Amino acid sequence: ETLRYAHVGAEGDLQTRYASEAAQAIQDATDGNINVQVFPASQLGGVAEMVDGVRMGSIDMGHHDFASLARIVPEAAVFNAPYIYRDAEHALHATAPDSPAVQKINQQLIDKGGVRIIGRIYRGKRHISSNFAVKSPDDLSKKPFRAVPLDLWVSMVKGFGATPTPVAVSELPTALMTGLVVGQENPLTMINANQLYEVQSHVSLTGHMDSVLAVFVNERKWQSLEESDRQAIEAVLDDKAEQSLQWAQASESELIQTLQDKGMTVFGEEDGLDVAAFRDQVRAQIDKDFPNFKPYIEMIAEVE
Amino acid sequence: MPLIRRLLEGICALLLAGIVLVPLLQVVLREVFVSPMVGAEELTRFLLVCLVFMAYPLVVDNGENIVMTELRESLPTALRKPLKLLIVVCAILTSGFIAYATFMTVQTNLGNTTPTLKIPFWLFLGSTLLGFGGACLLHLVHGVHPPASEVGPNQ
Amino acid sequence: MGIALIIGFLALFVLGFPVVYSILIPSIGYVLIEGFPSGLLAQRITYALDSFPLVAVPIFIFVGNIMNLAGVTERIFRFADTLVGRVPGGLAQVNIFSSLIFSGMSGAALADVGGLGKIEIEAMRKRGFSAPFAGAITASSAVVGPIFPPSIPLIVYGSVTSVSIVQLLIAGIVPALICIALLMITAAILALRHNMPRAPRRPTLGEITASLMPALPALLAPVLMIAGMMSGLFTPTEAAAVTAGYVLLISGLVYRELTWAHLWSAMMVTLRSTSAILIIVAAASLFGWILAVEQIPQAFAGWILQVSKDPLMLLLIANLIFFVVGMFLDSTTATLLVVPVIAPPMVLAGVDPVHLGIVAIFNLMIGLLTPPMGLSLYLIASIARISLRQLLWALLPFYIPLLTTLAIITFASDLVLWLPGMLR
Ligand code: NA
Ligand code: NA
Repeated sequence: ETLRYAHVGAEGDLQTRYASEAAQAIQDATDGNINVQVFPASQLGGVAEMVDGVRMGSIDMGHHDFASLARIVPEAAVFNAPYIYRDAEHALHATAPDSPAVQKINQQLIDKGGVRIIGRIYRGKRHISSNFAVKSPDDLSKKPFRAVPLDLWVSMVKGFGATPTPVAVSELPTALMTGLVVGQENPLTMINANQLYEVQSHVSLTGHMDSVLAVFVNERKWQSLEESDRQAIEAVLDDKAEQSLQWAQASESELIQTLQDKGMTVFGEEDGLDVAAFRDQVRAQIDKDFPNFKPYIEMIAEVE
Repeated sequence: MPLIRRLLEGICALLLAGIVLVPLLQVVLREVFVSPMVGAEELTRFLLVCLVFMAYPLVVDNGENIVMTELRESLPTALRKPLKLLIVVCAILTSGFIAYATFMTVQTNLGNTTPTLKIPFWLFLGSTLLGFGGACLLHLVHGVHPPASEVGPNQ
Repeated sequence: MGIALIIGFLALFVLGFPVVYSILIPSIGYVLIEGFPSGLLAQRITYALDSFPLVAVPIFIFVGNIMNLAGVTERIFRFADTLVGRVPGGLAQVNIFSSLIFSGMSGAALADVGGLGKIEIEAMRKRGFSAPFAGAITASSAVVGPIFPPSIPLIVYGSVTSVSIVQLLIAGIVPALICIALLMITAAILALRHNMPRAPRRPTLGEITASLMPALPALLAPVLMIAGMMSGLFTPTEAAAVTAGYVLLISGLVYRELTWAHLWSAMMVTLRSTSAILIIVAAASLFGWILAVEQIPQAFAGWILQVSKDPLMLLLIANLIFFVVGMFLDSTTATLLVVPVIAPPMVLAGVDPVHLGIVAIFNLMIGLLTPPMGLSLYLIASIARISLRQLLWALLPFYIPLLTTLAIITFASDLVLWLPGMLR
């Protein structure tokens, strides 16, 4: 059995490593029963197209931010909500397929979209990069700031105090270079892989989001697999999720060094970055804009 | 027919006007009022998709489909005639099938919307359906009553 | 299966099926035979056009139509003709040089063809140049658009391969200038041999000033665009819209030649041209998806590294592959599908990724001028109202400067990497 696995990650990103290693491990774990063909770098289409492809079955599986599944179940975006996890381990546990919040979302995804979450990838914390020093939300006040064109990000950027300005990821470097937007937020691995250090001077380690990506599969295809193969795949993905956390944590300090070597100035809390102010403002904005997240946020908070 | 054509032209003209005006408005909102419209790009892309498909029947009706006719036209009449018939039949079947596939997809895709403006996806797919459906009908009409002269770029 | 698909497309195309159906018929066959959901057809075709950069295409076609109908083109060319009309090749030289200027604000070759090209071809025809020659000049000079910064293809290339976008953009400057110089020389030679029209004598300063004034508002349009984009006021697509607004304004209020009837007919022509071109992009994206699923590009990559591991040899192979791929795919699809597969093994073998990027994109831009999938060709044939065959014949001599430029940038890597090297 062959599974077509598509994602939009670029070469050099953690998610790309995850997908290719998971494909190999699945083949080994199922004694060659399941052959996973990975199509990285948007080869089979962009995010919306990939999610819809998994829904209809032209693509068997894929991975992306949980928020990308909001086109099926709006509450799926809650796992991307800023400042809801205590730390990276908590984020990993709360997004496991057997955590209550994920199970509740998963049932709706299966019913409404024929899509099932079977794993997750920890991709590091998202931080702010900018072309001037940003130490508190006041520094961003009324400045054009890139928002991923999704409601959650628009709301979060409002929480930063900035003016949310939608820019597609392919247009991001140009938009930053020309000053269409003065800053953006992403995991350090993305900032490095996409060379945003060429168009940005500062990184503020706000850590506002733990970037956890959902690995999802077409439900019909999933049910057509042998029970033992399904278990083997889930075990592999869980194992790789733990590893992705280690990769992310190991690479974070390394990436900070790399970005500094590339000439960026990196601010942490000890350098006067007011993380608390960011947290309070952003959480207030999210609570206001997404009252439907509340029960899920409570379930997530209860996870060990 | 002329009435439907006029209607289609009118809709397409509005879409084109939107494609020019929305980015223009966005520049003004962002640079003068510092409050960009979230979703302006999404709207413009939506307009483009609709424009391309809605205008496709007009392309077919004017015989402006892009085609390389060099070999076909150099064939002897005995071969050229059946080939042209084959092309018309294939064009009818292909555009008809795309319209059918789109129609089926619209039905399974009802809940989908664009991320910020919540434009329902069946509108996008609806324009594809309309474009290829209309093209199918026009290919059929042209097959029965070939237009006096094709004015396409390569004829 | 993938090979059968390509052969099927070529056969239908050659037999005179409309391009869009030549692509769709084998694709539908594949989807039915392989048992893919038919929703894939609708989804892929529709989503392919859901792209903000593509929005610039109808806007630039529209600008070109308006400028023609409102008499703006005439004024530009009266000025340009006064200025350099005496140089052998006259307006042909203006055509080429204005593409360089235009490329400083446009990242896409098709935008050059759709906007400036329309103006240039009309003007050259009015001046007594043959339509195929005017089309050929326009097509070959439009290649420079995405080589000289800014460049949408180079930005896509950079984001796909994690190669420095700034370096890629800067690396494009020298090759663009070389290409322009070679094209101008070619045009001059052809013009002298065929005794093409040029001005009888040199212009006086008074004549230059007199022709400058009517053209000034139109000449300011690109300046507005460049300044706006460089300062971050707007994105390329927005720049297109700003130009359209500006052109409508000056042709309505300054030149006072624009009527409602003009506007309506410009819109009708624009939307049909847009649809005829972009419907092919939609179909091609379905085809590209199937090729990706069939792992055709990947098979190529495996084959390359078996053939050679020498960087220069690999670059030559890259040239060949991108040239062929450019014949079949539009540059964005080609960049997205082929580059991520071909670049990593080549970079590993020692090819400079910035150098490879310029070589790849230059090939893909030449691909816009080669059948079967030469979008630039089709657009120009439709604008100039000539047949593909006429255009290809006229274009033949211009492949020489284009391929010479390609050879120079392939072998003289120092020339390409000199400017970006100063930033490293
Ligand atoms: Na030109
Ligand atoms: Na081509």
